[in-house]
Amino acid sequence: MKKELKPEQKKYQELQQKHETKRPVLANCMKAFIVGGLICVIGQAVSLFYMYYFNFTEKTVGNPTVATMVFFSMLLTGFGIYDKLGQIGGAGSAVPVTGFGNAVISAAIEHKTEGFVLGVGGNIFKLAGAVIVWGVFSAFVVALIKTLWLMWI
Amino acid sequence: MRLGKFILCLFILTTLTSCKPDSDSEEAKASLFKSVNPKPVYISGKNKAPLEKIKSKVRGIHEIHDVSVIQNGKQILVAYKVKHFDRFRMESIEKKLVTILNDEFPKYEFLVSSDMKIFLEAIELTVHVQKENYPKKKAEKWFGNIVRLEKEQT
Repeated sequence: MKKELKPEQKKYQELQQKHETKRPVLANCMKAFIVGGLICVIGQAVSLFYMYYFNFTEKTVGNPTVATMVFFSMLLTGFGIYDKLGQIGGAGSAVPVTGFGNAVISAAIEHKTEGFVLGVGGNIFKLAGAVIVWGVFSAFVVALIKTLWLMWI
Repeated sequence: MRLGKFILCLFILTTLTSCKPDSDSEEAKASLFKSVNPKPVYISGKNKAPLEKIKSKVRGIHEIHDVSVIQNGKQILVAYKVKHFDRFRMESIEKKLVTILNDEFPKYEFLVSSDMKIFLEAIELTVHVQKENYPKKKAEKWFGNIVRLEKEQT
């Protein structure tokens, strides 16, 4: 249950609401859509590249493509380009796998001053580690359920 | 900073340009973006299947816009491309295609694939076989390689 507000507080809230700048939600969505879409177009080009020049099929091309895209975003983060992209695109630049590379390298840069072992080494997976653990653990749980299900039938 | 960017550009350029295409004919390149409608190819085998008929049967399915048919012995490789917005129903299209082919031509073993790479390789093989005096042994080996590629999972 919400706490009753005092009259002054109510008044202040009204005032604040009047002056608050509205977030451009729709425009942000469009920007995220465009940036994310562009990243995916590059990803598609990379996978076509692998299929055309190497012996990968559509089934097997996924892994090298993901690795390449993460590598690209790591380089771009290091050169300071990905941050600007993130400012424009927001979630559009974080949701594709490229966001993973960004999370790894930005943590590494942030802790560079603390030394290479305890700083970079200890903190490089500070942000992305959660993603890895979550992925591995959920894959484990799903595989466990599937195995039990198949044994049951 | 500048030097870093320069080295990056150089690195990417050298990596990209040092690759010799695995499939390098004009037709293969064109097939990445549009329909090329290749001729059906017959490599070897005791009885030649009615390849043109098979091809027109496959093209009769309206979701499919490009198809390559290659026969080697009893095996017939059918590589096809699906129209972009019908790719959501990829599996049902493949099912439909397999039932049609097996019902109409029960004597042959069909290998059906909608994979881009298989299509590229099929085009490449078609181009090479149509050249004069391309050794049959080599073509058969190539066909085997394509079949192996199609079966690969990871």
